[in-house]
Amino acid sequence: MSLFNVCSWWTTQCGDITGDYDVASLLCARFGLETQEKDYLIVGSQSGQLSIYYPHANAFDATDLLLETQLAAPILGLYAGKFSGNVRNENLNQLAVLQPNAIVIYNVQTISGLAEYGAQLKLQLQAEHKFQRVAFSMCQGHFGQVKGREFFCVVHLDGTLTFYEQDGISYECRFPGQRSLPAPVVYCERTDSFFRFSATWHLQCFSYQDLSHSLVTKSSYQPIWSQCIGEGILDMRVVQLKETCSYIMILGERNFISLDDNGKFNFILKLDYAPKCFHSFVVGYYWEPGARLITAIVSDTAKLHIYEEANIIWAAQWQQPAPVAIQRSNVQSLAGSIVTLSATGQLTVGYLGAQPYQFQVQPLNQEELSFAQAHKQLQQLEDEIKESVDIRDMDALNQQAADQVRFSFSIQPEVCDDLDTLLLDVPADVAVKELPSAKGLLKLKMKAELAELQLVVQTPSGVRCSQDSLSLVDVPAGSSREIPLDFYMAELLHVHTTRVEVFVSFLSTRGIPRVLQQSAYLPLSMFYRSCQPQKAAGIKLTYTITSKHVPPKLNTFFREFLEPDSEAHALGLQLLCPGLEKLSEVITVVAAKNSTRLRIQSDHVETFAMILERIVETTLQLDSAAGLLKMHKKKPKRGVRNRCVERIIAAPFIPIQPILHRADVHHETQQNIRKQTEQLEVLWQQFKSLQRELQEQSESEPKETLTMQIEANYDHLILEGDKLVEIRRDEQRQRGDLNCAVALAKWIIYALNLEERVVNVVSSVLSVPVEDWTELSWEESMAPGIDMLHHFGPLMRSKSTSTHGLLDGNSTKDTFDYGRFRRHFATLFDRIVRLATSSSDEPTSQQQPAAMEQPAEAAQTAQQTDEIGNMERMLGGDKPTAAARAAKPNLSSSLEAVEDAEEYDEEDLRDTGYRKDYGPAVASDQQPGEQQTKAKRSEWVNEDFELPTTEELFSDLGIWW
Amino acid sequence: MLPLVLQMTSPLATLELQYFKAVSLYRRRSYEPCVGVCNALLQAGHENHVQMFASSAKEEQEELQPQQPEQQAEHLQRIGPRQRRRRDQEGGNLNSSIMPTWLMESVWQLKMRALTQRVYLDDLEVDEADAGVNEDVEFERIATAARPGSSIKTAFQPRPSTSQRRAPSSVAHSSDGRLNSARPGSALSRPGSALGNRPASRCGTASRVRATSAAAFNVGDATAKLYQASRLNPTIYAERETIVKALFQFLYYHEADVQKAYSLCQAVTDVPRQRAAQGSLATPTNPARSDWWWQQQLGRCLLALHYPRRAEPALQQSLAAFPHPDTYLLLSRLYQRLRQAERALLLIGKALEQQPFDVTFRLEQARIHEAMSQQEDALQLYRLAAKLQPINVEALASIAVGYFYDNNPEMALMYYRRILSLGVHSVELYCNIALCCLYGGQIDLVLPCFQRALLMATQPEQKADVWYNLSFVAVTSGDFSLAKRCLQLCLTSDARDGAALNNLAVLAAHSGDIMGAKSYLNAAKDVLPEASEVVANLHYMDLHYKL
Repeated sequence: MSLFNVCSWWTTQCGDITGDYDVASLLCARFGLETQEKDYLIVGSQSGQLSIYYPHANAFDATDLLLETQLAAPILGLYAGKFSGNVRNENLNQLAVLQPNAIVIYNVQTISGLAEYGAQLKLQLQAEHKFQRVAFSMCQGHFGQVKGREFFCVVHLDGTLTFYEQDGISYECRFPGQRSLPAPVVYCERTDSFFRFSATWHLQCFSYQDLSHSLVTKSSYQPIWSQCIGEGILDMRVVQLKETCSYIMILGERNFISLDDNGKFNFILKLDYAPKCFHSFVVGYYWEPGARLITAIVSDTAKLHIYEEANIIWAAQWQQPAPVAIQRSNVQSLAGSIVTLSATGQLTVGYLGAQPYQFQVQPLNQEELSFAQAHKQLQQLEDEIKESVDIRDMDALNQQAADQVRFSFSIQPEVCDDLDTLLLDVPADVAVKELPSAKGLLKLKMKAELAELQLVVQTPSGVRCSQDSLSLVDVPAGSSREIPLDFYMAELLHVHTTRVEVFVSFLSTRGIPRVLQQSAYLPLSMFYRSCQPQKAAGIKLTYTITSKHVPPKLNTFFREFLEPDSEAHALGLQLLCPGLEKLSEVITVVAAKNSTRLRIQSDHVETFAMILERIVETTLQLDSAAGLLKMHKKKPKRGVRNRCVERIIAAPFIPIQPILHRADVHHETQQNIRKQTEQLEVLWQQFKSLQRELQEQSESEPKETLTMQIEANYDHLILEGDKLVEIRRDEQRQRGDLNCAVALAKWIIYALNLEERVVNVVSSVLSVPVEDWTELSWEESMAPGIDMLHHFGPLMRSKSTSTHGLLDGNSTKDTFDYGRFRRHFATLFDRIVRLATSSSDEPTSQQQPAAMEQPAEAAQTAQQTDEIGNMERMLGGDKPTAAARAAKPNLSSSLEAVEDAEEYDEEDLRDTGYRKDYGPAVASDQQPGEQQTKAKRSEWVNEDFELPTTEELFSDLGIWW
Repeated sequence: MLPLVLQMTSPLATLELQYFKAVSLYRRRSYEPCVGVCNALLQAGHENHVQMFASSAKEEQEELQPQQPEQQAEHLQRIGPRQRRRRDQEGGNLNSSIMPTWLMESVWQLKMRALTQRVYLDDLEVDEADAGVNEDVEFERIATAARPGSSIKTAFQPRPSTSQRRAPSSVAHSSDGRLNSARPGSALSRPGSALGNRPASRCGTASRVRATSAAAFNVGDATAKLYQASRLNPTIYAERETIVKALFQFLYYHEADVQKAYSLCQAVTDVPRQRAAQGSLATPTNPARSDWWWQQQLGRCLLALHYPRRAEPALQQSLAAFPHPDTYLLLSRLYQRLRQAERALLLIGKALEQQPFDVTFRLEQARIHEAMSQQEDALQLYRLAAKLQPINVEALASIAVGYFYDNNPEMALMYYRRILSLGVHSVELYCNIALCCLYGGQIDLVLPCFQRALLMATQPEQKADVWYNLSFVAVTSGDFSLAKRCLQLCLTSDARDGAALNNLAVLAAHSGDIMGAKSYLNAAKDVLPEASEVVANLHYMDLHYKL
């Protein structure tokens, strides 16, 4: 065994247990009171308690305590020596007690005890030297090799030394300019010199002669020698090992260092533990050969390491925490004992036992597992989990959740202008427009105790909410909260919806998560102001209100802009935001005088989304308020018509080209961003390598060229970075536009006379708001969805569900083919329009001609005006097809005819083998095709389509799983 | 901490006594209480507008030039006014007293020393940081050097991205608030892992550990501003030789700002050169200025900054001036970094000629041999080290690992039990003992040991390790579903454990779940792109399981 115990022989707790004991608080000394005297143990605490012990046997006895007294001042150190000159007994030592501002010297006297109380000690004040500066430690010795008595010098906190020689004579010694953490000063008798640890971590040796003379001569203190120790020290000591040599033993913070008194290093031992205190001593006598230099070092982990010179010879472990002071002492009946004092005043006399140290591992008190009980617990837990994750009845769950947290969210229909733009940190370019804002109110009431609750307000991009999230932790049951909210424009973007959604997600105390959602609509007057209606416009849409409960008047829909009893039939609205100076974006809503139709027209795609949203949503809301028809949440069956049609029906026309144009612009910006990022990456690499070169270049080489390169590179980098920021801003704007465009298509499709499944599938693919990810732009993320619709969805023409040969060309290619995506996108809309047109024939055949006429001509004009208008805004480039397409409507009078020409990918046709079927149709596609579509109707709808299973799909798409 | 009840005559004495208390606490290694006392003193000093580092040239013949007080005031910020006036309750005398500048300065330095010592971790005892850290350091340096007001930051604002990065983890303190200075992880390297190049269980580099724990300790400290390394101007402090060494260690060990510490080194070594240029003969050049210590620190910094070639001359110079053991070790590390292990061996051999029984050098020698994969020599040296210092945990653990891989788990177990009896009580040790028991056939001890290891594990990495090793127990006993569960638990603790992913893949393949196996393997490849096992498995899968 390699680690032994430090056995405790005698132990006691000193009087002051608050714990202010230091390395200087312990002294083992003799006072020369009797002939066969052994060591006394003297302990003085920093609160002023002084105790003297004299162990008699191997257990503490009351008679071992010879003196206990409370001094007025703290005790900083204890020393014993012949400090007084006029003493008769040569063996008699005095006790010096170092206090902050004085050193007090006592004579120790014995009072013989009566009966079994034992002897006692008494302190007799011999001398007291006061000083101004607070002391740190003391150094004693036969300075100047005086015989018979010892001088001493006090080391002050500021590094000054005060020497006390013959009675009353004292002088100060101040080292110039060097303040440092106080460190002990030691005296070496052999060379009559002092060793001092300087602030620069050097050990300096001063001769006593120099120090005492310098007082007279005022010469600077020049050390005899100086050695760099290179670290802070904990303690040091001088030990005389030979006649010719003393050693200075230094316990550094990391190393144990020994030097001889000429400043030559004896050894440096790197310690692999954190030392705390040490004691060096000589076994034997220095004037005899064979004297051994032994050092005991205490580690922070309460291990005692004993070294002979630099070699470890013994290691032992204390059971108590590590002591702060250690001494070797010769107490009665135990010579060579180890006396230690802990920081809390535990005084122990111990010895090195040969009994090995055994680390006692605490027993694992784990209860024996009772299987029946564990099984029961597990069952219980599983039941709980099952209950909380059971999602079969979502309605009940949501109902339950709504019971736990009641919340209501509303937005006032009026706008206000008193927004504090400064407080809400609205950007200056927005604030200057003084756009109206809206106020909302959110009420929360927690009925059950919740571990966590989070509330998120989701606003369309461009609109900001004054408080868009709220997190609560440990919500007690019954608490409630009311949060007033402000909604305001924060960016000049086109907004695609007025809908604000609030999500409340919470965790119950058992960790079950639930989510609640509510939404409200912002008033339209926040985004539009009324203006003169326009007579003509590029894009015209028509909605027919079929519900009997909704009066087809403008007043029903746009109460913000009209008087309550206004009978106006036309309303012009102008977009407030982004409010470009050159362009005023006006939308006109016209209600037919005699029918239930509404016509919405504008030149700009961006204006529609919110208006359509308002019309459709209001209709549905009013209708369901009348309570006749309920929207069922059940999964729609095959062949069921879109139920929305029973209330509102849209004319089957989608302004495809403007929508695609938005996508084009957006895609182009994405490309630009990618290019720009790549360029920045290159520059950034260059920047890094230049910096590295600069780092690695040696000092002698000229740096001018490199510096110039770095400057140029840096400026370039910043320039390109600024460009990227600019493009990002553009992108954001274009994303807003695209949002509006997609939302427009979505709202039209929503109210088309189609099969409900078709509407649902298409709406779920056309999700707004569009998102761009770092790795994936919106187009790329949309492509699979569009492809799905193209190949598998209800819009598939082929009845066959075989997926053979439909392998998408995209997946094998690395690059994303935007052209293909665009084609598919256009085709999709076109198919929908055809489908809706044909299906709306039967029920509304008498209305159809009128309805069809409108969009047809609308489309032409829309394409012309809009495309041409937009052409100027485009950055040029790859738009020959768009231009060609824009020109085409002139050739043909029908929308279908135009689009048919380029409806299908050649590639696709070849793959599907469809051409055979479709051959005549393609051949005759110049004929505008109402009959044809009617005839081919079954072709347009893949009546019994089956969505492929996941495996089929993935294996076909080449996605490896 | 209770204030002393004193009948002191002068208030200054009270302050000085407080300072004494702080020094005493420092000597006892009670660094945190010491910092507390220092804070109170600094606060008191600040409230009385004691100026720090004021030039006291007229007071005594300072050999330092006055250091432009205005400029320093900028670097050493004043502490903001404090809301609570705690000192009032402790005694009005502190407030009314005037603290001398030297005391304020000393308190400042003492606190700095205490902070440094609290988190001191011997950088020589820490394994070489991998190359990835290098890139990190450099990136930080460049990022902070960007001109203020440039738009580079906004341009690089990240957009939502699907890839996740691993959050940096921290290390627990030992009970006394001081970080463990033993060689963690490497000494108790775990046998039984299927992959050779698994990272050691130690997480993060020492500098990071230090930085996080140091930062956490400073929270809520009003005087923290006095120690802002980023605002420090090295040239100003370079001439203040009483504090500059402490300041260097503070920067290097506490702030972990190697770059700054390096510039301080340079500034200090430049001082004599500048003096010579100025031709001031009044102050003779102190030879101590260009002493071995600064050369050593210069080398240390350069090594930490990954410039071994530039560090070499500095260290050589230092070694020529004075043979400090740290210099030997630093040079040895440097040669190993330069892949010149032979030279490192020669150097250590030279050091050992003078001190043949020095355990530190013997261990270093053994480590070099180990790195050169001369296991026999390394073991021989570890044995010697264990003989010289029988309580050396690293030597014992290395011998045990040697035995373990030599198919001698019983002997390894003996050594591990000896380490345990030395009082080392750690997760890794229990894990190793359990594995030795497992392979040595002492099945009854295996699970209790793992139980202990699990109970003691606090870090997710440790837990992951234990579960990973437990899966071997399950595999050995043939319980594959238990093994799977263990591995899954390992992954819940550390989702980026490549070895666990790989083994899970193998188990999945055994049970016929080829798809699952492939996806696990792919995940493993993401984490450990170089691991031969993963690559081989993937290759095998590709060949034999056509999809």
